[in-house]
Amino acid sequence: MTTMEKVCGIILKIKKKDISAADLKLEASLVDDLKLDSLDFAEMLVLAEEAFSIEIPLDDANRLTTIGAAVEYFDKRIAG
Amino acid sequence: MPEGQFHIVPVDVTNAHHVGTVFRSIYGEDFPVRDVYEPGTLCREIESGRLISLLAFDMNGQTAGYASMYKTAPNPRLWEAGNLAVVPAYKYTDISLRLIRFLFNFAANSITIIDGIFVEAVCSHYFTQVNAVKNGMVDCALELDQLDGESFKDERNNKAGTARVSCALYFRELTDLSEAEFVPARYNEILRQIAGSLRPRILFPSIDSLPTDEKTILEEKYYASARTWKTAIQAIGSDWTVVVEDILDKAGQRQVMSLQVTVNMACPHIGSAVDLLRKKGFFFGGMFPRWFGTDGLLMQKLFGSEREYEKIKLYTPFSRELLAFIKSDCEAVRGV
Repeated sequence: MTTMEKVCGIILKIKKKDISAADLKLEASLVDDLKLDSLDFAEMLVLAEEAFSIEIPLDDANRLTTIGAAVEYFDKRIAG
Repeated sequence: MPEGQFHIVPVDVTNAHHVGTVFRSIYGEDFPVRDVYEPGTLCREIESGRLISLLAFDMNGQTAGYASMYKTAPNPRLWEAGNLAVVPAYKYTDISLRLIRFLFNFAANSITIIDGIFVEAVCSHYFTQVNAVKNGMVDCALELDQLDGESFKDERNNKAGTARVSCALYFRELTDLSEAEFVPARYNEILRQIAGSLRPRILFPSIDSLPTDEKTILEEKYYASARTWKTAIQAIGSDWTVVVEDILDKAGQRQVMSLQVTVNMACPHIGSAVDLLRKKGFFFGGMFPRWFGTDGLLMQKLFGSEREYEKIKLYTPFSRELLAFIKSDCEAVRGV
C-alpha cells in the first residue's frame, strides 16, 4: 500500500460519514475541504503513528495542511 | 492543523466574564461546572489559590478558548487540568494544543509547591490522551463508565455511542515520594508496572490483617449529574467491613452507576481491605499517584449494563494492557 493510500484510508476512516473517496485529492486541504477539526487531527495522529510505525510530535501537526503535504511528511519520516 | 494567532492570558477580574462566553458558545447554560458562568466565584477561587485559569483571544479580541487547573484530590498539592473549551469557530485551529502547553508551563512557574498534575481524559476520543502523553504524562488508571454520555452536548465527544464514558487518568509527577507504601499481593505486578513510569518508590507487600482499633477516615465526592460517587480512604480502621457495607447501601439509595473507592497505599492493611472490596464486587482500576500525598489504589464497582470494552478508545499500548488486566479482574470478581 502506498503512503497516499494509507493517508487516504486514515482520513476516510475518520470522516467516513462526511466525505467520499472522490474528495481525496493531493491538493485537498485537511481543514477547509475535508473539515478535520482538532479531535480529528488527534485521531489521524494516532492512526498514522500506528500505520507508519513512527512517533509524531504535536508540533508537526501544523505541517499536515493538505493530503499532499501529509504524504510528503510521512514519506520523509519513513525515509528517516 | 493551521497555526492561528492567539493571545493567552490568565483570568482576572477584568476578563472573567469572558469565561461564560466560551462555555455558552458550546453548551448554552448547561455546562455542569456552574462556576464558569459566575465571574465573581471564578475570581474568588483564583485569589484563594484553588484555581488557575487561562483565556485565549484571537487578534481581534474575540474570545477563543479556556483552560484551567483546580484542586479535586485530598492532597492539596495535586492539581487537575481540565475544563478545556474552544469556541466552535476556532475548532479547526491549534488553539487547544497551545492552551494546554501554556497551562502546564504557567502552572510550573506560578505554583511553588506542586506534587503533580493529572488529567482525566475521556476515552470516547483520543484528543486529551494524545495531548497528555505528548506533554510528558503517563497513564495510571482507567475509570470505567465514569461519565454520563448523555451529558455531552457535542455528540462527537461521545462518538463511541455508549451510554457511559470511561476516563483514563494521566499523571505527571513533580516531586519525590519518600514514604514507603504497601501493595496487595494480587496487584503487585501491575502496580509496579504503573509505578515504573513515575519517580522511584518503595513498595512493600501488604501482609497485615485489618486493624483492631483505629477508625476508617474517609472523604467523599458525589457527582449527582453523572451518578458517580468517589470515596477516598485516607486510613483503614477496625470498622472497615461496616464502612464498606455503608458505602454500598448509600450507593444503592443514590442509584449510583459508577462507585470508586481509592485506598491510601500508605496503609499497611491495604491487602486485607482490598480483599474485602473484591468480595463485594469491586475490581481494580489503577493507581492515583500522590492522591493523599502518598499514592492511592483505585477499586471500582459498576451498577449499569454490561461494559462495552471494545468501544473504549485508548492511545498507548500500556493503557490497552491496563484495560485487559481490569477486564480480567472484573470477570474474576464476578466469577465469570
